Amino acid sequence: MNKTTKQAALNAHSWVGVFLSVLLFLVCWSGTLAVFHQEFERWEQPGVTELESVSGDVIDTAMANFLAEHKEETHHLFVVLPTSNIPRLVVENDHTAWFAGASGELLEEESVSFTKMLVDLHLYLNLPASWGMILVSALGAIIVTLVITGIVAHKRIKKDAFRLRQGGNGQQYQIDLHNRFGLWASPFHLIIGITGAYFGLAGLVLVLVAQLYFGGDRDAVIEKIFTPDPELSQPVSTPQIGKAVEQMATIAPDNQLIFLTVHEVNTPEQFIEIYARVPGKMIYSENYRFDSAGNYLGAAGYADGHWGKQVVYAMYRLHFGDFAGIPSKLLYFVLGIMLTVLCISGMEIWLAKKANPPLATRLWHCVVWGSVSALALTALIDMFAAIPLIPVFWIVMALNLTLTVAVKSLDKSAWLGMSALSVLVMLFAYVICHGGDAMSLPALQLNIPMLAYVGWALLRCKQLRAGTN
Amino acid sequence: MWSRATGWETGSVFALCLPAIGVWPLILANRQTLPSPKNQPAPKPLSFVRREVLQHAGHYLVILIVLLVVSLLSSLAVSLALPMKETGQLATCIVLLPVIWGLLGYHYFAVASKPKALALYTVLGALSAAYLLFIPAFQAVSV
Repeated sequence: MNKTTKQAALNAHSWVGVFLSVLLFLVCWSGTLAVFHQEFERWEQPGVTELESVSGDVIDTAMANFLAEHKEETHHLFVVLPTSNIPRLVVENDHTAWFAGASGELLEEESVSFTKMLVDLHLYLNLPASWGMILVSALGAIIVTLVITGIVAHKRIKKDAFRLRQGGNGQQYQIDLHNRFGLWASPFHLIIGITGAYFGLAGLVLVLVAQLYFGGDRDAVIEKIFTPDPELSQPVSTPQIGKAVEQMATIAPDNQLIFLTVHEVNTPEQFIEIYARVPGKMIYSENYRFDSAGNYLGAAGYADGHWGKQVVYAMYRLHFGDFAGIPSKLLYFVLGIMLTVLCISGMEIWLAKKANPPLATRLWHCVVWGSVSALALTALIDMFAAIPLIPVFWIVMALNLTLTVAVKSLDKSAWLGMSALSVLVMLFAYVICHGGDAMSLPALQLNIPMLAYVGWALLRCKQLRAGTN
Repeated sequence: MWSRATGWETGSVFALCLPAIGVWPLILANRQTLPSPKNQPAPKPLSFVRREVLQHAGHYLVILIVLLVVSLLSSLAVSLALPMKETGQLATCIVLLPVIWGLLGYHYFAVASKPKALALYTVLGALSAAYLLFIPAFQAVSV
């Protein structure tokens, strides 16, 4: 490829990377954490009883107990089963969710505000849902641009494939790190970009196709991809959830049950749908339908359906790395960290080329490391006060930025130190808040990595202060 | 190994993603240390000239709005022209959309004349829209 082509690609790469850096960083960073959103849910309530499996009778008892206490009108009922990735039994309607114990007794209300805020940050950047999702999806397309332009712009792609030059003023190290991460992880970046774009852009495709060919009927388009609901007309009765669950051992013995939904509650069209993970498949689930009396109606046909149906239904697992248990989540977490480092190093290379303008450099470090502080402080506040967390996070971010503008000594090492301190304080607060449960598996599986982060950030802070790269 | 254990779909993702981690022992074995720099350059101020600010705002508009519309129309037009069932056409459109958007984003910044690029996108969008309005779509072809 000639020099002009490479320079043009570099121009595109620089503009897109620099001018969308903050949004890209926030989405990549929150997405990396959101890989463990189920683990964060367990971490928020570490004391809840965990189960390996439950019988149909226990599910019926739990639902009966739940409905006795929650008589509000609802269109759906849900049961999350312990064989999902969260080993807990949860019964819920459209308004509230409760954990249930081994005998079906109600334990405590589900409260996962921090996880919800974190996932919302990733999916919508905490903006109003539709606009936020379209913006975040646009960033998926932007990632595609960055991958293509990054590869085209790379001057010695083969020669430098295994090169890492440390020392000097640190700039070459940043460039090498950026290029190595960018090149070797490019298949992952393309997967993340394309599947990430799906969540917001599929809605636009749906609206356009509905307007063009179905007179605005969006359901008609949805039915082209997703299997339509069964048409039922039966006497209104209590859904026989337990009976339906018990039959799964014969209908699909190898499939891992995730959750079930009762649709069209208390209407003649009411039916039960059980979502089960299919081994060897990337699709979210195969869905098994039952009528109110618990009689099997058939499967929705995702596992052996048209390839287009399977592609669309595989987007969630492919995007969040939820397809091979902890190994795939760990892989996505590590690659997510690499993608986040790519955003950070890209911006730092650009700043270094400008010889690090003081305010812009401080603001960037504040966004990066200050967001860790902001998330930690948001989690801390959530432990002691039931207040909306989105304003909390953004107020802390705004305060961080104001502080950075006002105080010139707040450089990278200061923000790294503050992020470590914030996480440490949050961990202390967690122990105070949850007592002995802070030593349980759901707590430790996140607390230990967070403590490791504190150690790393303090060490890095010390290195930066000593002037070593 | 992964394909045998968890199916080809999972195995393919692992095969595509694992080199990103597996390559690091080789990279670390090859690392070099550079000497310290002799001089430290003075920081360059960032430019906030009104014309440049407006130009960047225009780029945002093109990248995030104009190219969204053009890539949405063109990816749907391309997908619906493919001889396959509607489910496949819609799935193709969903995968194709960010790729076309990404490529157009590259094109926009790569060309010197932005007005010419915008004219090209207008023509592409208009042709795609005309095609979508007049084709007899959603009359199933089984593939």
